[in-house]
Amino acid sequence: MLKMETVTKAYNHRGSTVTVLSDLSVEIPRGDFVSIVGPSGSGKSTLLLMLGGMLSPSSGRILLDGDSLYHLDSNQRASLRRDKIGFVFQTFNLVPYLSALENVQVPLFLGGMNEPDQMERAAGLLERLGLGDRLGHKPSELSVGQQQRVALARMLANDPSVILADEPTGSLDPETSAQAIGFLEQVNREGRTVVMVTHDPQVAGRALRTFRLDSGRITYERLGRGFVSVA
Amino acid sequence: MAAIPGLTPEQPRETLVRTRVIDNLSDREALVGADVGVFLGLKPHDTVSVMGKSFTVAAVLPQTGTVDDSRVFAHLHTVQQLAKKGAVINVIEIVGCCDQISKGLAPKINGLLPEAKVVTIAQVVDTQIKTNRMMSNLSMVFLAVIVLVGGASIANYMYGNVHERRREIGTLMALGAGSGFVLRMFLLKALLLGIAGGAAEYVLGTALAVVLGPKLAGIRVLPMPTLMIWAMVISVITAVVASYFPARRATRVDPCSTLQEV
Repeated sequence: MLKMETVTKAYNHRGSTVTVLSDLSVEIPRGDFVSIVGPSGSGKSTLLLMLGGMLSPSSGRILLDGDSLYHLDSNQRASLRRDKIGFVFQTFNLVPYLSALENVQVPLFLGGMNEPDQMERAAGLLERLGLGDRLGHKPSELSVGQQQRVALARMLANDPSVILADEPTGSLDPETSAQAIGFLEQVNREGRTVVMVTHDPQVAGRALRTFRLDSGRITYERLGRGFVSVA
Repeated sequence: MAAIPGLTPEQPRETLVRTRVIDNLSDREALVGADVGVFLGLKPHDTVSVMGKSFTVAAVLPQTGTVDDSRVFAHLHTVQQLAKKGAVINVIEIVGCCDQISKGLAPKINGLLPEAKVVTIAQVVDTQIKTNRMMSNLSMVFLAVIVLVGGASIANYMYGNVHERRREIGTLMALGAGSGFVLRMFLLKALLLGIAGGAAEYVLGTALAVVLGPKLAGIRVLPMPTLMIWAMVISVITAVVASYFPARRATRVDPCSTLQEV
């Protein structure tokens, strides 16, 4: 389970304090699919970074499966990310000089898996995403949709229980976007928790719950169709 | 034993190396050192051409183990004419025993030849040793400067590389890479750069020395494999040390940079 307990994040900017998140408390149970929407600067990225153990809060706690992320040191948080969290980025962040297969191998390599097993698992994931014939291709030799599928395969490499997706459809055409979100639904049905930041209301509507962030606070939570105010 | 032309009959050839006394030597006669004799296949009474003038070999001198073995000796006036330098004497070598030198031989000669610079072999050797030492120290200073400049260049390149790859580093961190992994990644790169640089330095430096040594310094240079080990060691240490701080900076890359487009 992912849990934020009265989390506040504030920056000092030229002598004045900017509060990005304010007393935020959220519980995301295992197997949930949450989308986070809101205007630019509302704190969506900050929220995702904090859930991923990459940005410490000014106050409050963030817990993953009962462990307070920011009571761990940076290397322990890196290990936890490697074992439990899968990331998808808006611009995919594939390593340009590695092939599709090698990109998917990266988390497996970091996890200490031996090379034959890495290759077997990475190839299996890419085949699952329909890229079995593109294993040796570099990102520059793949279409945008194919690059996103490599990123999705990499996301699943270490069999994470939590998926954090940053605008996963932001760079895709509608058809490829539908495929990507369908894949996230699929991995969610496998029991993984998915937290997705998006600007697209249609994409957000595919999640089980939608949080709307405004000025660092959750103003609405949508369950099914209508919006329910929680503020 | 046959008499040597130009020499007094009672003076055998072998005594030349010991006595170094030649009373008569005609302007067409020459004495050749042992090495010259072997190299040119010369015997007494053979003819040898030096600077366009033919000389009859008066004697091939016995081996002395000194530079005299590779010299040809002729009458002073003949040499001065051939050299076209006028009535000039560059060097007079005087053999004297140690006790004679300590008794003031050099100042006495200087008194006789006030315009000449009189130095003993010990002074010449001492000067040569000092020159060699100075050249060696100068080489070390050059080496230190080259290592410093090279190290600064590598550090600058590595800082640039870390900056250029910060997004990739951030991605790796987001995927679970710890700071130790990132540090090792950059130091490994420095190690490989050092090995490649060391090998290239050795090959290029040796090739230049072999080609330019005879042209610029008049000496034949042969490849020295042991220098490859030195080149590798210095290059690897320089690359790794110079890359340490850039690599540490890489470990502090903010992984948030991977999500900045949100």
